[in-house]
Amino acid sequence: MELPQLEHTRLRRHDSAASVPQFCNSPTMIVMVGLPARGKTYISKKLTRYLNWIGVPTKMFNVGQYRREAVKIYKNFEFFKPDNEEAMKIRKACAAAALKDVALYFTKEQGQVAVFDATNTTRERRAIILSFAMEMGYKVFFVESICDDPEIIAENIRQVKFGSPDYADRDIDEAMEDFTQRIDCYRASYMPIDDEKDRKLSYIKIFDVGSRYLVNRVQDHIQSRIVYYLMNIHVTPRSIYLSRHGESELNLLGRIGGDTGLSPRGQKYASALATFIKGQKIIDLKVWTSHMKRTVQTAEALGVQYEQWKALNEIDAGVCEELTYEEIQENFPEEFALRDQDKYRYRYPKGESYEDLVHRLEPVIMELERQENVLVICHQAVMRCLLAYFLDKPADELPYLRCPLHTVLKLTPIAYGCKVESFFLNIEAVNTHRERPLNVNITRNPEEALQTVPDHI
Amino acid sequence: MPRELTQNRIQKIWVPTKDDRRRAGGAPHFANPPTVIVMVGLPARGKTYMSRKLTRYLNWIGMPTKVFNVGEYRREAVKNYSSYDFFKPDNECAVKIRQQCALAALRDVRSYLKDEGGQVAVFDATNTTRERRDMILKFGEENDFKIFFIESVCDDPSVIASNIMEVKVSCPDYRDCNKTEAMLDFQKRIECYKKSYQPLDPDQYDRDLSFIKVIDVGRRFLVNRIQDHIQSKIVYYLMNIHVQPRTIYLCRHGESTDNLKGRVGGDAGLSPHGKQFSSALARFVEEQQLKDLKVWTSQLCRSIQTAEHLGVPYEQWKALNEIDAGVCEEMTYDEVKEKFPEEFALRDEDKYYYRYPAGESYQDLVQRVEPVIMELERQENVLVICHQAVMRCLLAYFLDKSADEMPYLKCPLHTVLKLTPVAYGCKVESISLNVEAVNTHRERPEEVKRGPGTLIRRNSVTPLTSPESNIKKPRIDDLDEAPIQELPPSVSALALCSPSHIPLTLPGQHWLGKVCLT
Repeated sequence: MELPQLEHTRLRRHDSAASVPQFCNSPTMIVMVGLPARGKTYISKKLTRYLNWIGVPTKMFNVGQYRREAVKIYKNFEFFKPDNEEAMKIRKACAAAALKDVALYFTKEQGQVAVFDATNTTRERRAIILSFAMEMGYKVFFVESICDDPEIIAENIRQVKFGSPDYADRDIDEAMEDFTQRIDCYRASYMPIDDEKDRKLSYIKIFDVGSRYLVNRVQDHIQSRIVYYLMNIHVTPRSIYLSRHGESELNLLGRIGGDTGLSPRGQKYASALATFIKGQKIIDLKVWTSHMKRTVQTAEALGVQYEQWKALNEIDAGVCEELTYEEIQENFPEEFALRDQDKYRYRYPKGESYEDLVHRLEPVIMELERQENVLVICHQAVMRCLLAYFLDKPADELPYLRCPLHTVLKLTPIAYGCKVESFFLNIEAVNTHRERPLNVNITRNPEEALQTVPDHI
Repeated sequence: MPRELTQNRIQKIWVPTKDDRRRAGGAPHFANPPTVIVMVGLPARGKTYMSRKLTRYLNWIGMPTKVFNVGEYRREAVKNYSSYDFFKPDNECAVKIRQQCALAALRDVRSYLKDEGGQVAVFDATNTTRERRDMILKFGEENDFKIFFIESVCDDPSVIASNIMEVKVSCPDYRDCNKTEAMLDFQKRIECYKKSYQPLDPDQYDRDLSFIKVIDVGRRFLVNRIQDHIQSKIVYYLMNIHVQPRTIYLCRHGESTDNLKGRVGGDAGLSPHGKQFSSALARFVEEQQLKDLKVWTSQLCRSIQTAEHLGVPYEQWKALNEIDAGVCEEMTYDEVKEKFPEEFALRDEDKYYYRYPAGESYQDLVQRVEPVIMELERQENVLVICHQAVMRCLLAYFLDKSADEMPYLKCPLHTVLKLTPVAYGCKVESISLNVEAVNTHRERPEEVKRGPGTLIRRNSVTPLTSPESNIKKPRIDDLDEAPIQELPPSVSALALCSPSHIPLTLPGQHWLGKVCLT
């Protein structure tokens, strides 16, 4: 049998093999369950962000938003009273509309996971979802959040409910009062997932913000990953600091990759970083670097213990290691153009792609979730990947995120997202950011290719 | 003033020049206080199965771990097991012996974790009473050990019967019995434990403990208060393993054109013999008549070409790519020796830790390949078509081989290794498909001195073979403190102790401080 000619396309088509096998076959619905203010939307958003980052197309469907569309003005908690028949009709219709959109997402938009974010507190509602899923051939995995600690609930309400459109015109006390009564409306009819009656279902119950978990019938790889992720996240306040190494010798020459040491300005940055960190007065800061000399040297200046991760090494540029962009254009003009066409998926010959980087970095992200205060000293491409995870940036933006030298990004989780503060430590450095040029065709001429290359020696 | 950095010659890791001792692994070390994993459950619930599998996994990822099976201590103390009467709760003499066995095992746990560089100890016993568990918790507190319980709960009679048949009936206790007798006796043994069994209670008594309850062989899990990274990994691992019978096939790609030239690495295609092998592999797979075989390859041409011949869908894993030989890629060994003589020598000195300049080490490979292992645990029948170094890493995991042995495991071209889980381990069959190929195996050079020496460090990623049980050594040598005592005459009168085998009273009290013997 004649073997098909194997073509080494580094530029992969969207549906071809990524670094790891794609494990989703049937689409999966993740169905949240729980009283209001139990963290369902928080978990939904975080999980969606994580799954998208590791390459599993995921979308969240928040039924509350459908309700706000249908009922333009929210008056008060009476809308949620179980005997309010008209409201019940509307709420049911909203849930049905959301399910319809889930189906569209799976069939028309190549989605793989849909997170159905609603209270889903009655067996009746969950039965509707289950029969919908069965009919359509979707897998269902429930995530139930159970919490009775009044402090946690009050804090949740403060953090996210007061900012909600429902309470835009109320003062805080009014809003708190109304929301508490809203929760009571659900409480009477709340039927948690039953360990006996529902023993055939696949689910995880999260108790008291992660103090305990009950996991039942994990069906497949993606559910196993979801469970692992949920068991590693926490809500303790903390900050993550991301920074690149100080300017290196090769940076000055406009060369990519390699393993050189810091330039004099890079050394200055390392000292400035030490001062900055001290000024932040952080309790129990963990410091992580890569295995490359320039990050280790930067950390050395801090005078504290640090851990080296090979997974934090800069993207491997393969045959282009230590070349300038001009040299790449001269020696590999076609590769250079292909990279500009799809910078996320493009893999350097004998090297890596951003997509490969993301998979390499996943254990780092998992451990960052477990930890509290961490300073990560890494590299441009690596930092872009980590930043994209925290700020929920899609694959096409990721390789163009701005991560300049000598700048620390401080990320603090807040409400449903992440606050970013940028600190430039006032030590000059070369610019290493190359924007996408206008012409990405392989037929372009060198000037067009090198149009956006930053200055160097 | 920042310290000067040098790159250590074998691992290529940048360390402060003066601090030679520091040996970073590929990833940070996460275990600080040592951890004691305490198994809980009635007999035949899979405690020893989980203990050994978990230990094998933790050792492979570089966490020094050892199992302490109290049943083995008991078999040492009571040479001849006569019947389930030994386990009756009212058998005072036996209860005393069993207590002392547990204490002796704990003593060894302490010594392993404090003096022998151990990081995790797995305490494998029933531990079914609160009293026993409280004693262990106190022991942990006194020694600054973290305690993590793994309880296995199962009431499905067919699962239990199957467990008994698989591992109990052939155990030393029953060497003189036939299968039916053994089965009956063992079931009565279980009954002895049932009455006093107090499962972990997450709602009240045990709500502050860290544990996982494995219910019905992994159908359901209850996880309480995970404290740290290693407990999180343990939980993830336990949630991914299963006991369905299945087979894993490991093989390398067919012989490549680079293989023929003696070149390492690269991304060449198959040689004519390699193509022949691929066809033979297709026939072999068909003959095995497996249902639902998954086929995995790397992203290198030679591995994919081999899979193409099978005519079935396959998945590509970049993580299965061959070890990156960095600056030595596509050279022959002679060329490496000529261009980089020092590197060549360093590699032979310590092949596991040695990282090619701008490349990888076996240690890096283990970390890279770990997600593949995790997914292999989830799957059932799988054929993995990979490469020499990668296959050695995978094989070391399944066969519990140490870092020292791993780089020298024999994985010849055109040979399929068929791995079948059986009892507590793995059966291996080596099947050569009878297609000629070059030999790519380089033996450990004679001149290189062996032995772990200074290179195996606490907390580095160094697979260790799960250590042998303490029991293999005669225990008399260890009893440097208390004198050997005879049991009171009332004991010798019992049928279970034959006069020529007088169990030793194991000195437990003073080793464990305030823990008292009841």
